[in-house]
Amino acid sequence: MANIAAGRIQRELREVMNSDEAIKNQIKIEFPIDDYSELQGEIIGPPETPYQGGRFKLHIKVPETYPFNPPQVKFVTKIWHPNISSVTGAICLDILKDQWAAAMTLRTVLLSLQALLADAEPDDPQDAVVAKQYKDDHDEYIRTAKHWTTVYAGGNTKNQELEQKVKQIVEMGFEETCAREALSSSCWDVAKAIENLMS
Amino acid sequence: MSRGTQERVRSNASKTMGIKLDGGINAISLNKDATQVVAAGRQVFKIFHIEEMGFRERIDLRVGRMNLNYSCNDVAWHPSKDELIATGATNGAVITWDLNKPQGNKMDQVFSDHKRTVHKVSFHPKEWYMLFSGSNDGSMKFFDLRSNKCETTYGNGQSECIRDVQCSPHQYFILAATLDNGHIQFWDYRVPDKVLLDFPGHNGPAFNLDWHPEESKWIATCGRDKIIKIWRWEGHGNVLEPEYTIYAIASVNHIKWRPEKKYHIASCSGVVDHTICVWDVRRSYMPFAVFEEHKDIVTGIAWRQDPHVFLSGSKDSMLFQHKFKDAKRPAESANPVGVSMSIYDDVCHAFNKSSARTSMQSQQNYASTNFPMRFRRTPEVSEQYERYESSLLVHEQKEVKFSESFIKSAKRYILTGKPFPELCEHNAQVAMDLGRHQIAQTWRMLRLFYCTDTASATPPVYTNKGIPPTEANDSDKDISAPQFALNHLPSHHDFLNPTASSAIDSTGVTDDNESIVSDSEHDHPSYGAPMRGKRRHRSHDGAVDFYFPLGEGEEEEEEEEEEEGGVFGRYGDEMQEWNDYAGLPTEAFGQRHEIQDRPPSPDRLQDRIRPESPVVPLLDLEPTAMTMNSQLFPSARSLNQTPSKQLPELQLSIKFTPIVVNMLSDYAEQGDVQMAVSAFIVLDSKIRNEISSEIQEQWFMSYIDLLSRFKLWCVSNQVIKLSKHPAIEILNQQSTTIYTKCNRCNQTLEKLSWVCCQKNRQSFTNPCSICHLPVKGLYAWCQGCSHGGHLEHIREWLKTNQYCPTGCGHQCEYT
Repeated sequence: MANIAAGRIQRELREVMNSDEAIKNQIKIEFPIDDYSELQGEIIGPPETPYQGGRFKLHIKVPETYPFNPPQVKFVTKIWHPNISSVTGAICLDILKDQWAAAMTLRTVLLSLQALLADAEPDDPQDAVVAKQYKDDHDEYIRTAKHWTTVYAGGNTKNQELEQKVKQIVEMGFEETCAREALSSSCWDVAKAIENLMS
Repeated sequence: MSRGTQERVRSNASKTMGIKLDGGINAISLNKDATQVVAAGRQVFKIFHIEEMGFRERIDLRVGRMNLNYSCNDVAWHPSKDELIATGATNGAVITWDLNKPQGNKMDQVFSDHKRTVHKVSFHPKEWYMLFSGSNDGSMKFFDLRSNKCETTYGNGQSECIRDVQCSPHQYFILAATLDNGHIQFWDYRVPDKVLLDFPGHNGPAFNLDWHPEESKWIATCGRDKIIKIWRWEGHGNVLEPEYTIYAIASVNHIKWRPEKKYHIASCSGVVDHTICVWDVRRSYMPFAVFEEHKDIVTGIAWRQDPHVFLSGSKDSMLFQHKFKDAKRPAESANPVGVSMSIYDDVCHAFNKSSARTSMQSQQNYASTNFPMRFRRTPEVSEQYERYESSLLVHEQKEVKFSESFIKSAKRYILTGKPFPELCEHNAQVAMDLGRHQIAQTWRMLRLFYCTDTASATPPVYTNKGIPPTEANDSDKDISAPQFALNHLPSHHDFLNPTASSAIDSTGVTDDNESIVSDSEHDHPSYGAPMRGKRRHRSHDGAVDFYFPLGEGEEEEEEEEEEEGGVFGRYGDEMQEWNDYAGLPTEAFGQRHEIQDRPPSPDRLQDRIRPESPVVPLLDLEPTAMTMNSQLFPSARSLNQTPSKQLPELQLSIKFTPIVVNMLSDYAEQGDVQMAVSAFIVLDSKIRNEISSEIQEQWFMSYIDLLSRFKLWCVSNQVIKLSKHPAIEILNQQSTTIYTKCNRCNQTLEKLSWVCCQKNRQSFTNPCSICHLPVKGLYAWCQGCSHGGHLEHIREWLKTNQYCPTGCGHQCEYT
């Protein structure tokens, strides 16, 4: 890794670890010794959002050309969010693309992602299905997002009804993840979800 | 105003006329129908009727006991009430005068709210009771003439003196002011605690402003920076860009729009220039009309509601009425041809087509391109101009450009840091590479004149067979070519001692070759007279060596060297070979400056001296050599055994340096100031005292100017540094302070430029925006957003990004 990138990452890791947010356990970063190019980040879901209570893991890949190019970040934890792919975890956030600025650090990136969770931008979606739901049926979106947070990110708002529906489809022989995705995409309409899965 | 009145005004104003008052006028003002004028000054305060044949005094307002209240700095006649006049006094009083008062003192109200001189009083154009004033104490005040007291003070906290205040005739609540620091302010007079817009309009004090009488958004301002600027103010924030800019020849004190002519504005200056100029704002370099009646600076201009007549008051105590038809029109006598040269030797030529039919012949060296002249004139120009068709030609030189060799020389010349001979040799080489033979020759010549080691660089033990050492080669090469030139000077042969003939035989072949070379060199047209003189002198030197018995080893060597030098010295063809020799390590023969202290061989010196007596025609050229010996070989003189030889030496030593000085002057006069300055720097103390300080300054200034035109900043700085001339060195001492601010919190950094003390928390500031490390060395700093960092990093970043690396949104530009 280029000299400048390595130096910077080390300092930024220190910055993250010494930051107020890290002390309050809101953000966290882990890295293998001697390799700063592949990092594991973690953020908590911001309060008063469907993601509250969840801990979301991130995969951060720091390019050779850092800080001239942004780090590549994606969600490892599955999440239901208009700007994050529910399948791959890819993030659509301007500062990770063309609006990247060299003055930004890992800490600001993590905080930006937290802010993204709190304030989605459905008009510039990564996941069109979620975005459509976000706009057309916001309550359904919140219910789904909460459910996903609970299931994948360790949230604590259990929703028996949705669990039941997932179980119903899983019993038909489908993978649980696929079942949940299908159900989420079809607004928890079991029949429609099955149709989707079959096709 | 009735039409009848206007007609009368026009007929009245039929001639230019003037009246002499008791003292200098500071300001004038006209009454509402422009039939009377009030002129005010320190010793004068009178009202005149303007009549057909002259001014008739109506009232002298200076009556009663005199005090400073009568010393008027500004006067304003009320725009609607004919009996009301306001003045601003030098003691800070604002006074109103009621002309309807019966008899005696007409003074009405005295407002003593200002602490210092009042520069300006002005009435609101629509509301009769509103009087505004601007003062030296930095405040503007609004006086209500109904309650007769100061109602509002604007900008109380300011320290800058207010020069002018004027209400907009179009926007009811708007007030504009100019300040001593060049700022222009817009106020809403109902909001005294907040300025609408405050921006720097002028460099130095902004003296005057004038709202355009018709164009509601235009406002003109002027200042000591000799510029009149026309701004368009849309009524809301932001810094304005001037719509038009007029460059006057001196500081502009007053401006006044010409009524009924949208683009015309009258101006008068505060120093030097006693004329009143009327400008067309679209033609910013030449006044449209000039009035030259006054003998001292003009302090007031007032148009008589008629674009063809105006009044002016001046410090010369004269009150004049000017008629437009009596004005001078500089544009009519101006030569409609312009020529300009760029630093890259291109010539630009603009001319009026009708007059230029004949002038387009002789341009062998230049390729010309015809550009349509778009920016000059548009067809709808006002009726004063005839329609012209103009052309703009740009000629580009086809041949090798002077600028190229100039730039290359400037970059490659070494002016310091090495022993003198090496500098000369390097620079000669540079000149040679660029094909400037004369310059190269001059460098070598300088080296020979002033260098002690021409002889001593030759190693004492030295066989004829060996390859000559570098230095000997270098120096003797110079000798060689001129030496053979003596073939063309038959008289030299006469001096040749028979003992030398064998030596000539041995070098016979090269001799022939060289004579060809020297032939061609002699024919070279570019050789200046002084040059040739010196070269001949050298050649004589060569002859001297033949002249003496070969018993002295050094002569032999020198001869040999000359031969060798001759072989390698054919400048054009053998250059490369010679280069190789020049590249040899110089250390092989020890440091030159060490050698300098060693007394050179006395024999050689004598050799050079002796032949002079017989060579009468060359005597005047000899001193060069003589002085060299006597100046730089002080010990040599003591070694001279024969006292008789010292005499001519002493006499002649006076004449040496002047030749070099003349030569440098000659270069400078020919336009090659680069050579003059470079040689001067290299020679430094050797000729510093011989050239007058003014000439030095002139040379340095022009060289530095040239360098900066070619953007050779580093070279230019080096030259400044090496100039050792107080007037030049001071250039490097100007504006050396850099004020820094924290690029996070925008606070000025006071003590340390890298610690921001904001919020009582010291923190490191202004790191490199890319790598977040402190910058040691070059910091590339964006002047727009104050972010930056390591030069390399910023450059790299801006290769792929348009915007500031901090993401502040500023579009930084790396140039």
